[in-house]
Amino acid sequence: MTVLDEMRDYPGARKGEPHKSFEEVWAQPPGLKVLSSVSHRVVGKRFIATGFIFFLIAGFLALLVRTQLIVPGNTFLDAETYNQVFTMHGSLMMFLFAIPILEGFAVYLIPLMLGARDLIFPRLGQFGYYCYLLGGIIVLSSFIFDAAPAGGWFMYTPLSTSEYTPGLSADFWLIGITFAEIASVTAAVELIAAILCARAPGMSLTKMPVFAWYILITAFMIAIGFPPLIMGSILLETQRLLGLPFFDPALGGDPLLWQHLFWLFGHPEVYIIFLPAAGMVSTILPTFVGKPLFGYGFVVAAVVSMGFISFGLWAHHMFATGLPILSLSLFSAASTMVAVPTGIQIFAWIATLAQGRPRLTVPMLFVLGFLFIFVLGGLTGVMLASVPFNWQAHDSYFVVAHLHYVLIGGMVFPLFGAFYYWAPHFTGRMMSETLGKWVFWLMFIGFNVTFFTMHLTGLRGMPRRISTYPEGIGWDRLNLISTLGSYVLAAGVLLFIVDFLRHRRSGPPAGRNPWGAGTLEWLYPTVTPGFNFHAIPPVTSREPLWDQPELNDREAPTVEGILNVMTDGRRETVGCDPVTGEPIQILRLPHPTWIPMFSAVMVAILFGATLASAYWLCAVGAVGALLGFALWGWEPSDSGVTRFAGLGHRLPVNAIDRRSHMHVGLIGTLLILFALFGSVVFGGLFLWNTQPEFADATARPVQLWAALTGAGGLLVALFAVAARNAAMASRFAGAAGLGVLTAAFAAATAWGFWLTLLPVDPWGTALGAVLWAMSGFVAALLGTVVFWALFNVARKLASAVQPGQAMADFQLAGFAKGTGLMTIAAAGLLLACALGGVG
Amino acid sequence: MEYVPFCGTPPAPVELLTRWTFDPALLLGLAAFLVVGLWTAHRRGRFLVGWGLTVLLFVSPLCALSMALFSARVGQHLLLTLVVAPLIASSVPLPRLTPLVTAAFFAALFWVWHAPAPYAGTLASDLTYWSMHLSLFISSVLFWRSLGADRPFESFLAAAFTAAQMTAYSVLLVLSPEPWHAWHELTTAPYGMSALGDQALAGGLMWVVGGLLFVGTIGLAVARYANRQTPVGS
Repeated sequence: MTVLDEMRDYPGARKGEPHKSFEEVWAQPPGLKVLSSVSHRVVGKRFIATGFIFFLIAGFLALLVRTQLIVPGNTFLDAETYNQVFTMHGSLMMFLFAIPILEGFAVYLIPLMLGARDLIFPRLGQFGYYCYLLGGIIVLSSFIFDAAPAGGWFMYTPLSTSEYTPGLSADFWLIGITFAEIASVTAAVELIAAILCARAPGMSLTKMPVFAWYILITAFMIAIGFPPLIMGSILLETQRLLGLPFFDPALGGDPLLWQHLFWLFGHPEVYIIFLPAAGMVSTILPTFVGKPLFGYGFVVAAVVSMGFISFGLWAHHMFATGLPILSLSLFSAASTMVAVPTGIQIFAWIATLAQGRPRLTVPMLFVLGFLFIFVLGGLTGVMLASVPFNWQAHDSYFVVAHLHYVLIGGMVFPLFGAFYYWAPHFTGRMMSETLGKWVFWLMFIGFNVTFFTMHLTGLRGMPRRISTYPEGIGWDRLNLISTLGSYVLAAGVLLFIVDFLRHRRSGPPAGRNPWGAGTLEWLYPTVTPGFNFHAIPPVTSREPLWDQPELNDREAPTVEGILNVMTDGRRETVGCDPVTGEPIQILRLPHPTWIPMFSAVMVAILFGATLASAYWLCAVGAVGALLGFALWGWEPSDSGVTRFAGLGHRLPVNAIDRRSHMHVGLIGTLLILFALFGSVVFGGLFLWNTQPEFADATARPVQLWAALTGAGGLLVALFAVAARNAAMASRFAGAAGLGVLTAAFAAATAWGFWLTLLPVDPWGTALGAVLWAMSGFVAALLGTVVFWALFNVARKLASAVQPGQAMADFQLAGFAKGTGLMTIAAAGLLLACALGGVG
Repeated sequence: MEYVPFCGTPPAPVELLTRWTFDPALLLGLAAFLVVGLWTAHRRGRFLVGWGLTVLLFVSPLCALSMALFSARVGQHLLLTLVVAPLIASSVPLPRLTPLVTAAFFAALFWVWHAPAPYAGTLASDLTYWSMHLSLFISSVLFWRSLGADRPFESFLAAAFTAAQMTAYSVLLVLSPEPWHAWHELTTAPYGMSALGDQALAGGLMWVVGGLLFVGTIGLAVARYANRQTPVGS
């Protein structure tokens, strides 16, 4: 399905702000209106700043923990507060600092490195940011209500069920974190589409800067890895609110199901945090060596392999849960195999270092600190991969030491290096080399004093998560040293803040390309203008600033490239073929708007009201959010026209094509939805497998309705495809009629799930509850199809659609195909249960 | 007369190494495979490695061992679908289908054939036994053949889906509290394993060794793709 082969030009061009100049169209909205900005530079910096604030809060909590443990028998914090503090420390660091701040860097850097003027879904970026901010505020506000979560950052059942954690503390965690995760998955879709569809002319996949590869793989991992936790959290929250017995062993549930879903997310999470940071290292290190990264292809292959491996290894977090012993040995061996792709990257870095004389700048110091600490963390990881040792060290401070070596070494040190490296890009000024060296050495020494000592504390048997310990069993002095080390580490972070605030006023101006880097973000003298590129230059090298003299021998604004004219007063960037990087379309980008923020606030009301059990307010939030999404999507279409783009190209605007950004974004979204669906199906198969007697006790779904529901799924997809075909042939009346039929069949199919499951009692057995959850999920997607199809019909009835503008129908057809597939799969499983496969 | 499965009755450990399968129809089929393959292959060396492995999988005592141990049977299927299949797919000219279709087809066959009833069927009739192996083999060859650098995204999604479904199946095997296949309940004891332990080992093999074979193959393919184009000026 493509229009690129027969490029037609309809007269439906939409003017933006034709009276404005190029600079004015891209200008930042003034005053408070800046909150409506959709620019990736603004949103990225907000992600980074907010993430850093959460880092400081979580770091402060860590200091409280260390202060409590400084002497035996300390009464600084009581046990309950202590539990809250360490739980919030872990949760904030993992969910509200590490992932969002790295995504912030990616959101900021990716368009600059790849030659785009913005990310291609800027409003999604703004929406994601506000979801993250509001979700974070919900989680933090638990302190105000004295209901901070206290069950550990992994919220293990049954401790986190309402029986053992009454009150709202676990709900704050489940609802707030899930809400903030929406930001992570939307950013993932945005980054996938941006990396694949908006690169400089000629930048093929294999000519991308290696950082883009790291981010691309990470984004795919987020899209697949976060859904198990999101689905798990939804199930657990439903159990807490409605009493459905997903994790209740008395009714055929299984607490281990939570652990599987959690670690199915939790293990990839480690790599999701590590890979972007490793991508920073792979970007910073070649700059200071002055040579390209050694073994680019092997590094890319190692990153892809790590992405795959990370999803297969979650069981090694569960060595102590009674898995069969023979499989444990295999996992043990496999866990050590992760060292292979990690080793490939480390050797590539060492080989790059060996190619030249590295300049020992502050970013480079942090990179070297990273190598040192991360290798040590990797070695203790290999130790923990051995089952007998793991059983000994399980839940001791040895594990705490290991995970901080991996996470602080693997992520925080590269991140601080990245701050020093890209600060000139943010502010136009250089941070201090002298203060920077102090920051590095304070952090490096403080870190090692704190956490190296913890290995010994752990080997001497001190368990995690205890609020105090008796005197004289060999832990006193080690804990004292750890605590003092943590203060030194904190002093380093504090000095960094001082340096950062100072350099914004008095740092020396950076000029053009201050580090002599090879990647495109340094093309302009800092600060780069808000549109990133006047014209987007063709790229023929992985280090264009090193290898393409035409980029350096003139002023940046006069560098030749594509899209050097603005025809319709609109923000635009060039869209490329995902593989070859050849320009195939012009992407029209949105101007500043409040709608995504409005939608995010409405979703926040929906989530917050659930927490407060104010269900009428939930309804207000839900309706408001739907309204927001409808307003968001209602804008006139840009498709159906062609424009000269310079460099001899005439390109369609927002092409309706499989290679287009919209289609890639849809695939990314479907990937997330399939992962959610897969997670709940996995839950069902898991319970059916481990609790066979409760499977027998579950009533059978209705065969006939199950079969009809599956057929309904097929019809929904077929009607949506027919509506698309009609719309693409500009037969809008026919498309509207088919749209109504799509909506009607989607609604009927959702009703079919209800009829199929009527005999099954969701409160009776956990398997019954999972069947309802699976069907409810698919029914919600069918509800989306109804909403979307009616929305498309309404646009046609309101004559808001002109010939050539079939993007919405094209996208709905893709979504309906995915939904149809899930409907058929779900109905098939229900039919299998109905036919006796349950027992 | 009672039916003897294609690879014979479950062997005792002492007689295992004498249990080669020299079935005339099998040898004839393998010979025909060799002739056709050598005739058409554009990479003969690679084809020969794949063919040689196929011979080992069905003629060597592994075939007999798979009658006793489910884990051996799973190992046989892993080598067939994750090692032999990509070797054959990349050495013989074959039609190329859409990656997501071949991945779905392979997944459906894999789950159906390893469910209790169809699995028991393969031990009750030669025809069913060969339907299983031929359909698994052909679908996996078509799957690997459909992947390629010219369609990187479909290939990536299909590979990810296949990795996920095989992992899910193996997780269920590892965690199951009961043996799935009645046939193996009495055959594993001579090898010092309970049927449940054998089954968990099968799941572990599939999860870990299968996963690593899969990742290794994908990793090599990506390395070749990313190294293929040397950039200007470096």
